[in-house]
Amino acid sequence: MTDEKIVALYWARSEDAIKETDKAYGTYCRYIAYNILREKEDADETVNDTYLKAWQSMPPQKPNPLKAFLGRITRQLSINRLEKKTAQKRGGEFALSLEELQNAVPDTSPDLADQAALADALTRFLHALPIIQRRVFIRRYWYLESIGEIASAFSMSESKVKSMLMRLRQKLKQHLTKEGFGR
Amino acid sequence: MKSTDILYALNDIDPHLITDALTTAKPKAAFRRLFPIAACFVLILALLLSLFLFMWKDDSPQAPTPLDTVPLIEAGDTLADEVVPPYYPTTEGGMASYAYLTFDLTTVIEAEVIEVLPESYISLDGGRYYKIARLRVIDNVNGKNLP
Repeated sequence: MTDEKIVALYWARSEDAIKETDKAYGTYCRYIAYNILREKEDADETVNDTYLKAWQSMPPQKPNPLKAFLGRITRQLSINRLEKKTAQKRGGEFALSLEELQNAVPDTSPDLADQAALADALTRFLHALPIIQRRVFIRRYWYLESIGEIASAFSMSESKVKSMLMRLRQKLKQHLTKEGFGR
Repeated sequence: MKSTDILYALNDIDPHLITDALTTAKPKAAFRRLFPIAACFVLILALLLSLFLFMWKDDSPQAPTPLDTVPLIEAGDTLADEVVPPYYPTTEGGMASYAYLTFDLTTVIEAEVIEVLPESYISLDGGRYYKIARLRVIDNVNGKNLP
């Protein structure tokens, strides 16, 4: 079923909306949630929460592409859920990604006042990257895939992925500094 | 700013970047994308060029057109000035030869054909072919006896 038809089901308040969403994007959402939470039960619950949030959002929203809309909700809910866990239980790729991204934070940057501006700056940064580098970056820091998973997906060695990400973080830091996020 | 700010802000990036990232196919280099188109273009150009060259009349020796209006001469003929144009036409079969010399033949009054050069052709007017012969100039306006 196309995205337009699924969205139309939400607007019509049809019970089939969730069923069709799960059929089309359930695997995708569970994939995102599991990458962050690393526990199946937590991931399933987060996906269910995603469908609830989608139900509450449509109408009035008519997202396009629907896939990215659901992915965003799942990702945010997964991160929120993870944040609530105790420090001891945190781990996996989420924690590693946070550590890595610390190197991308500009020196002497003040507290972030405008998340939307940062999102725009990140979009501009990503659009300027060569396609493969962009995909590797997003898979690492949006989908929170492991280095091994990324290396396998792109038929690269893990060391190549690591060095690519390191260079990208440095580039991101320079970009954010230039955009005014550093003092 | 903290690293969590970046991680959260990534949630609001262009959604097309998010869905595109799951593609693993390598983008074709511009060269590989354009090569088939360029190859077809070159092929068509080559075809048109060869067609054009095939239709173009070249200068390679073919049977020359017999000339009715210009008098024919043979080896050994002595040329009087009234029949001395700059060039003399020939026909196949050694019926006549005509001469083309490097000096200006319009000054020649009288000349003798000594030797017809075999397999020699020049084309002066479109479609007219001439053999080259050596002449012994007998007389010219300057009175010089040129070889």
